[in-house]
Amino acid sequence: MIRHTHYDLIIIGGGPAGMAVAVGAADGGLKKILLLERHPRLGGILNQCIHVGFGLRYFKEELTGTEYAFRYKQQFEHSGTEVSTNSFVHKLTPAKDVTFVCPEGEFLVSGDHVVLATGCRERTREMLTTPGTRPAGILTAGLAQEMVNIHGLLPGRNVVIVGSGDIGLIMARRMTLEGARVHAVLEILDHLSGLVRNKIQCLDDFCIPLFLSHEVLEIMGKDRVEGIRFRDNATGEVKDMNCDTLLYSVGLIPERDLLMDAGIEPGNGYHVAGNADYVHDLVDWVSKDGEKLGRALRSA
Amino acid sequence: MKAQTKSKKKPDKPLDRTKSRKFTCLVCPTCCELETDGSNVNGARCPRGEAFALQEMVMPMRVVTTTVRCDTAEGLRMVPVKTTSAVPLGRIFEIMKGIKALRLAQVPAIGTKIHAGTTENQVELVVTGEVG
Amino acid sequence: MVRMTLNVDILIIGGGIVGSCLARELAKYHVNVTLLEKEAELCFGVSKANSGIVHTGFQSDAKALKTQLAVRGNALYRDLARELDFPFLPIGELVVAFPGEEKGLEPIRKNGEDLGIPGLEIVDRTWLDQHEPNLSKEIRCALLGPTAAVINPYETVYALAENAVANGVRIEHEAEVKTIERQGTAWKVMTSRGLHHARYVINAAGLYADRIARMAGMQVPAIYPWKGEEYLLDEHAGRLTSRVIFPLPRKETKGVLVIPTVDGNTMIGPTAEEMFNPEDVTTSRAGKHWVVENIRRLIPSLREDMIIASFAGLRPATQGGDFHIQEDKPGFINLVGIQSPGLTAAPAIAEYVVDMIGNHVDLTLKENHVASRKAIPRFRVLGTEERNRLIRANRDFGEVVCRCELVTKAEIREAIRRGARTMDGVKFRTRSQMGRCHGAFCTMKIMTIMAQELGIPYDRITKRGKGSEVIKT
Repeated sequence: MIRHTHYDLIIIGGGPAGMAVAVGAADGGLKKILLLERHPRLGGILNQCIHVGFGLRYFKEELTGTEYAFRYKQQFEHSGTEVSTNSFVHKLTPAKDVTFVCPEGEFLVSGDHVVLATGCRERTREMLTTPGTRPAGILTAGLAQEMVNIHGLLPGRNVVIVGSGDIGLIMARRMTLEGARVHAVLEILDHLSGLVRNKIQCLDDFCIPLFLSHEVLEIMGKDRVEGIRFRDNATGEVKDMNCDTLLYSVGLIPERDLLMDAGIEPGNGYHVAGNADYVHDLVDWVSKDGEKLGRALRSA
Repeated sequence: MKAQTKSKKKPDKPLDRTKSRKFTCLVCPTCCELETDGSNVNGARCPRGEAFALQEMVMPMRVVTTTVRCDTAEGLRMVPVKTTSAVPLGRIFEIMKGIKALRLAQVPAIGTKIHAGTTENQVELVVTGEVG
Repeated sequence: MVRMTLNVDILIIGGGIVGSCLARELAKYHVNVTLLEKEAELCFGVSKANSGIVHTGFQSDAKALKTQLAVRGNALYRDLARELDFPFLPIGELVVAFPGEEKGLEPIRKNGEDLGIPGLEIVDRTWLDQHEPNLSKEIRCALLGPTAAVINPYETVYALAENAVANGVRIEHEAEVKTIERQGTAWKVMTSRGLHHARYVINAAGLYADRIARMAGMQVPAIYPWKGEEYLLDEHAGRLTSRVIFPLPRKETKGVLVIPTVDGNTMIGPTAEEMFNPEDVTTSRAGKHWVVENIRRLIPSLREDMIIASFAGLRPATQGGDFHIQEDKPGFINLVGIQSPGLTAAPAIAEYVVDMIGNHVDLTLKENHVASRKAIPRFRVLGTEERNRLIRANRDFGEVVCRCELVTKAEIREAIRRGARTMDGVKFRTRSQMGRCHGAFCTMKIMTIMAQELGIPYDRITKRGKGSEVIKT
């Protein structure tokens, strides 16, 4: 049960961005801060990022996503922020009323400032309207990451990754280490989408080919993916490839539905932090930006 | 977006072109483009990059990150781990086999060291996260 | 799993909208009824993927059986939706006329009037400006049919089936009919799950109705599957129109339509393409292009980036074009060619078939028949007070599983208790996995709940039945 009905600051999302805003805000003198997190624990997407590549700028150490979450949480715990987990925010108003649902009930709180630290979601096959069938075995790279790292499940054994975004590259390695065969990464643009260091560690290390200017034309398979038809847009050549799993890593979309649904623009006490603002390269910048944003918030 | 670095690129040393190879440094997000002939390294902005290139030439080493099965009373939990030091890339699947064979009975605290593999080929892991 | 031979009075083959309406209708009488469905769940065939429209009925030839049944079906839906608590939105429809087409409207209006369809009127440009501002200004006038409605076909099927089961109907899933033989005064039907003897068999097998009939030694009109692709627009695009919008009809199809769905977003489609494979439900680039081009004519402000999802369905069309509903052999009623207006006509088809059976079999009404059924509470549409009441009684209503459609754990569990056995079954009963993120957030949560509720390991959870397992071991 939360303590107040009104707060200096309400933060929606307890991932790195939300925690950073809280740290900065407390540092800047704000007293009554509420953080609402929909999962049972803080950490956001970092909780499923078991790979290294985090913290080199912020903590001056190469950490895994999970280690970064742990370290940052320790800092966050000093901010005096009130935290309500299992709390799903689903409605906002221009007057900064925030409605959330949790196993104790549905509640309304209001704040002088409301920060959306809701991260981003992944672009899906459906959004691309890729023609073909709708079998099992098509999922986003992030969902695959959750399946493997949190639940110890393997989404498939013969994988093709669509899109060369970082999550796709990371999952190419992860799936390979777990015993799957990743046949290729197909990228529609003529250049790599993700970081070069990920291409090397995730594809080159395992001899997984990256095909640029390649487009998936059709998905085949009745109940389970059986293969794809694709085209090399540089030459026009069309080929088929067998696989049983398609992981989509074709872009991230900042999660601002809450504002959009209410017709609210940032401003007048509404702020957006972290990947909900724009997709950051490194979580280190999310922490720095978030703290800066938090520090700039003044009591009403 | 390239981050700011403290040290400037050093002047290029002569390389034996018959032996030299190019690598992208994986040590930090700067990703310097390195070239080495096994003795001299060009393109590194810091000593770690030089060490990386020399090692990569001889035997690529990587830190392995994965999860370890833990069958608790509340159900299955996957515990995130990493190798405490880089391991030879060529041995990665063998090492993974040893890690995948592990079964923990309870979730260890972050920072706990675990050993995997056979006595002859042991690998040290460290727990890298809290588990929900 | 092979069972002992069961004696039933009536065997329904096919668990789509027609089979479910039949089950619900027959459950009112003292007869032993079993419904056989070859897929893992009901409504995985023709009934799953269509426009969801309950037509007025004026769009087809007045003399045809399908027209009579559609008009009657439309009338029956109102009470049915109320009794069985499924969403039914009587938003009405417009058949629009571009310059030069205006004269085409009056014959349709007259046809409808002769059929007894109420409220038909031809509306002009001023009316259209006021009531449908997003429609192309080139449209001169339109025929308004206020009695048209939209439903979610799968919600309707599950509502009917739950009520049928509550009143004693048996449903067998993954029971594909293999052979049919006459044995004395009964029909002997062998399925992948066992043998049935039935006095009456009702063939409501949709795309396979002709094959089922042939299995039993009857010649019926052949089925030509016609594929229709549909495209869903993002909720953020809003309701582009308030009513279902039709262009003037052509012979093969009613045209490419604008369909405000029950769930609040807009659907555009369908295409009409003859298929040779009754399992081809692929969407295509050409299909999308066709739909977008045709709808832009109706709604100039349509943008391709509004499209967030698509699917395709198959129409069980026959050359004749009318419904074939006949007792082609004693005790065997074939329902062949139940394409549009099949969804609309379904409740009336059930009435019609029960009448047919009633001529030969004693059908006495049950006194203890339960007419009504309550839907799974839909958290998303409730007010705070109601939500808190539910949460206080059951904490699972306070745990959000689907972030896009605001579906709670309690609803997922209830869907499983009411018969959902697959991810798609959960999807169609709750709307989870249908939102913007297409399951990226909720999939693992739903799988965990399914594993708990059904006591099965994750690798036995399927998207829509065997062969579509979500996980590989």
